[in-house]
Order: sequence, then C-alpha cells, then structure tokens
Amino acid sequence: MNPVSWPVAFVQARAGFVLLAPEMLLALFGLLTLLLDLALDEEQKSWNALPALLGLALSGCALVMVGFGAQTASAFGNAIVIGPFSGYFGLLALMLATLLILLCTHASGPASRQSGEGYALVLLATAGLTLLACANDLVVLFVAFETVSVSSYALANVGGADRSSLEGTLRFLFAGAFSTALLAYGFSLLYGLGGSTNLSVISARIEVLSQLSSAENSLLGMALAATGGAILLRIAGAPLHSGTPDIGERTPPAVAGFVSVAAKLACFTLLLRLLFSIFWRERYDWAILLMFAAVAAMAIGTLASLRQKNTKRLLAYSAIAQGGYVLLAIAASVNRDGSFNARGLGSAGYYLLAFVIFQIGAFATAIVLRERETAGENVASLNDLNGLNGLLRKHPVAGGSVIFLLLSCVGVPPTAGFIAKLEVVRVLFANQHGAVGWTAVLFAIPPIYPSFRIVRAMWTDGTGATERMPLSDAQVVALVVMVILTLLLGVLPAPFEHFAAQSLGVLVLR
Amino acid sequence: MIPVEHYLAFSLVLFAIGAVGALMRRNPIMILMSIAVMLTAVNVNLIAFSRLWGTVNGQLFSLFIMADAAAETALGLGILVVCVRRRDARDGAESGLSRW
Repeated sequence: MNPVSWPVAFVQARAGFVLLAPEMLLALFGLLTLLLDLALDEEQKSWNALPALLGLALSGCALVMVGFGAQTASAFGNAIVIGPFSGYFGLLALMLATLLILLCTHASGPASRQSGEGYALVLLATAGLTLLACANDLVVLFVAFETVSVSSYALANVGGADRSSLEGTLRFLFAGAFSTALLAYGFSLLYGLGGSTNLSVISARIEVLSQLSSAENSLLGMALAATGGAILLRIAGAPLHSGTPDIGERTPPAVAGFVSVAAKLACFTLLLRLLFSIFWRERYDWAILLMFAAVAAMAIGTLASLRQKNTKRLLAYSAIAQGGYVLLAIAASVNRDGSFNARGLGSAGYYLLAFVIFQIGAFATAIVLRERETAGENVASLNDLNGLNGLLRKHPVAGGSVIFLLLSCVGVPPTAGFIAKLEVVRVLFANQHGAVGWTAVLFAIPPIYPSFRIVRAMWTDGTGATERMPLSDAQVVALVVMVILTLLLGVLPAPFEHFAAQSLGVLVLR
Repeated sequence: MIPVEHYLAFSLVLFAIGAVGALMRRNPIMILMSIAVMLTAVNVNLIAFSRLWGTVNGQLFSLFIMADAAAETALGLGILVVCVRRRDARDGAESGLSRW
C-alpha cells in the first residue's frame, strides 16, 4: 500500500462505522450509565434509568435511519451487512431492553436496587444482539454472541450476592461456556471449509463445489452438528447442566426474563443467519433435525413447567417450550422438495416478535410477587401464588394487563400469541407435516393449567390484598404498552407477518 | 509438513477431553480449566486451517477466542471467589458446589 493512499483508506474505512451507529450508541450509553451510577447517592439511584432509556431511544432512531433501507449495505469488507434482517432483529432487541428497563423501576424498596451496573449490562447485551443481527462474518458473529452471553452471566448476579444466586450464576456460566466452546469448534471447521471467515465467501465456496469430497462432506456435517448442537443446547437450556431456569433466588424477575429471552433471541438470530447461507446444502438434514429438537424443547419445557411451584422457573421453562415453536417454524420453511418457503420464515419472525412481548409480560407475574415481598407484606415470595390475591379487584389495570399477557403466552385469542401459534401450525399443515402439526397443537394445551392457577389467584380476594399498588407507574406503563401491542398484533396480524416475511426473506440468497 | 488431518485429529481429541472434563468434574475450577482446554482445541483447529489456506483470518479469530476465554474465566473465577468467601468457616477447605 503506497504511503499516499493510507489517509484515504483511513477515511474510507471509517464510513462503515456510520452503519454501526446503533451499536455504538448503545455501548456509549451503557458506559455512561455505569459512570453515572458511580456519581449517584443511594437515594438517587432511580436516575440510572434515564441514560439507559435515552440510549435506547437514540439507538432506535439510529437503527431506523440506518438499518431499514430496502438495499442491503455492507461494511468492513462485507463483515457487516445492514438490511431488513438486521433492522428487524435490532428492533426486537431494542424493544426487549426498553421493556425491561421500564419494568425494573421499582415502586418500593430501596432505590439502590436499581443498579446502574445492571442497566449498563442490559445496554451492552442489547448492543451485542444488534451486532449479531448485522454480522456476516464468523468472527463478528462469535464476538457479538459472546457479548450477549457474558453480559447475561454478569446480569444473572445483579440481584445480590447470596449463595444460591452465585451458584446458579456459576452453573449458568458453565453451561453457556460449554455451548460457546462447541459453537467455536463448529466455526473453526467452517473456516477450514471456506478458507475465509466471511459467511458469503464460505457459502459461495460450498455452493460452487458441485460435489464435495468425502472429507469435506464429513467436515461440513461435523460443523453442522457442532454449531447446531451448541445453539440447540443454548435454546433448550442444556439437559446437562441447567441453563437459565436455575438462576438464583435474588435475581430480579425482570432481569431473569431478559436473560432468557435475550439468549433465545441471540440463538435464533445465529441459527437463521447460518442455516440459510452456509448450511443450505444440507437443508434436508437440518429440517428434520430441527423438528425433532423442536418437539423435544416443547416437551421438556411444557412438562417441566407443569411441575414447578416457583413462578420464575415456571416461566423460564415455558420460554423453552415457546422456543420449540420457533424452531418448528424455521424447520417448516424448507419445503418437502427442498425449495424455500417464505411463509415459514415469516411465521418464525412473527412468533419472535410476539414472544419478546409476551415473555417479558409473563414475567410480570413474578415481578408483582417480588414487589409485594419487597414491600414487606407477608408473602412467601415466588413459590406462593397467594401474593397475587386481590390484584384484579383492587388494581384492575395492572392485574388485567398481567392476565392478558399471560393469555398471550399461552395462546388464547385474540392475542398475538394465539396468531403466532396458529400461523406456525398452518405452515406445518400446508407443508404436509401433519404429525408434527398435531404435536404442536397438543403441546399448546398444557400451559393453560398453570395460567389458570395464576388467574384464579389474582381473582380471589385474600388477606394479602393491599390498597397500595405494588407496581410503579413506569411498570404499569410498560405493561399497558405491551397489552396494546399484543392486541394490535393479534387483531391485525397481516401487515406484521408480511413485514416479518420480508425482513427474514433476505436471508435466502436464491 | 504435517498434514492438516493430524491437526484436526489432535484438536478433536483435545476437545473431547475438555468436554468430558467439563461434564464430569465437580470442582468448579476444574470445570473452568476444561472449558479452557476446549477453547484451546478450537484455536489449534483455527491455526491449522489458517496455515492450510494461507490466510490470516484464522489466527485473528483465535485471538478473539482467547480474549473471550479470558473474559469468561475471569468472570467465573470472580464469582467463585465471592462464593467461597461467603462460605461458612466450618465447611472446610473443599471448594466444590453443594449440589451438582
């Protein structure tokens, strides 16, 4: 490179950073929140939410301005691809973080509970999620995925350092690190196949070879096994060690919800990005594999959640079951004859949108219980649903919102959750996967029982009912916004489904 | 010249050793070490392929993996230190987790 051209190259290389504005803003405001937290007194800690929310809002604006063009723009030697796909998942990530931070502003208890570190970690995890959506390169994918994971390990411990919380975090860390190592192994094999870490280059090379030699074929199979296995381990929460469900007692329920949803979102982004570019050659294999994994996830999640008394664990297991539905939708986007079915991907995207909203909303049940416990009322914390008594009568808005979001989680019309499940089942039947479709319908039924218990607990008046609203204003606002979105998605699903199908459809290069 | 298959076989064995260690060990420090062994196997793979293809991306990737391994291990050890510090004195010197 001759010495005159390096300033030009310097400036030209910086052009890519404009495309990364959402992530940079999130990282910047995350650090600002951390700094602000150091400067605040104990009583003023509730101001921590301000830079966090500001960062999310600015990042959202940047995302809309930068990320939603119909063209895909690429930067850094095609390592970052900004387009409808990255815009869609970036939007999901920002929505998740905003809802979380609103739900974390507590009404009672010491203000120091709202730790700036927690908000900073949430922002950094969201930056990782957004970067993951834009990544087109194995290195960037790995770094972004790890940003989300390591932030989650740290977040799992934000509630306080008691024994069970620390042990739960350690177990979560081990399970996560194990699946990360497996994922990295798969990535290294992909690099070996492709000669470059860029996904486009690798998939081009794999496509061009009309017939892979047997060695390369086995390498590709091993890569699929390693990568797919790692992602599925992460989604299903690892039958080996426990994944997210076992985060300790003191983690705020909203944070536990965020960690589980963020992990799922990261896994699905990664899965979608990889399956439709590199592993397209093996789509028959992975379509079947995904269906098995989906049924297993639904089975594990549903059966485990039925036996749980602890509300937080119940919700975490139900999140695993929901993940199973998304896996089914992804598997259904490959037709029997090997062609691509855009409707399957669209239903997967729509399900993820509904999932983000109702999963965080379902955690509101645990939030109410935790708020009551902190306010000093004699509630036996998350194991005892009696803490919900009287919520519906005394505070109809909050109670009604929580119930509505629970209904969406279970899949009752006219909520978004119902439409999402319906669409997945419809795509399955349209693809002649009848047995799997009926299994999906079957597994939609058991979650009704725990929700019925929760609703009944809210309906009955109890001695624990208080006049004072356990939730703060910001939390109620978040809940109402979620209810409105769920209703909107449920009553008018078509434009959202279309949007999802368009955004995810760019993945497929053929 | 060592053929690349040798490197691949070595890294596979190393990865398997690390995986078995991560799954079977009770001591959390040993689990962290096993995870580090797994990531080392990944690095061996990457560097072998980088040599095969003549590009430098593999080595770049392995640097990032090293950084990430360090971050995770540091976090895990930090949590472990707090965990052990909070343990009652009468529990003795064993540093395993209570139930696995």
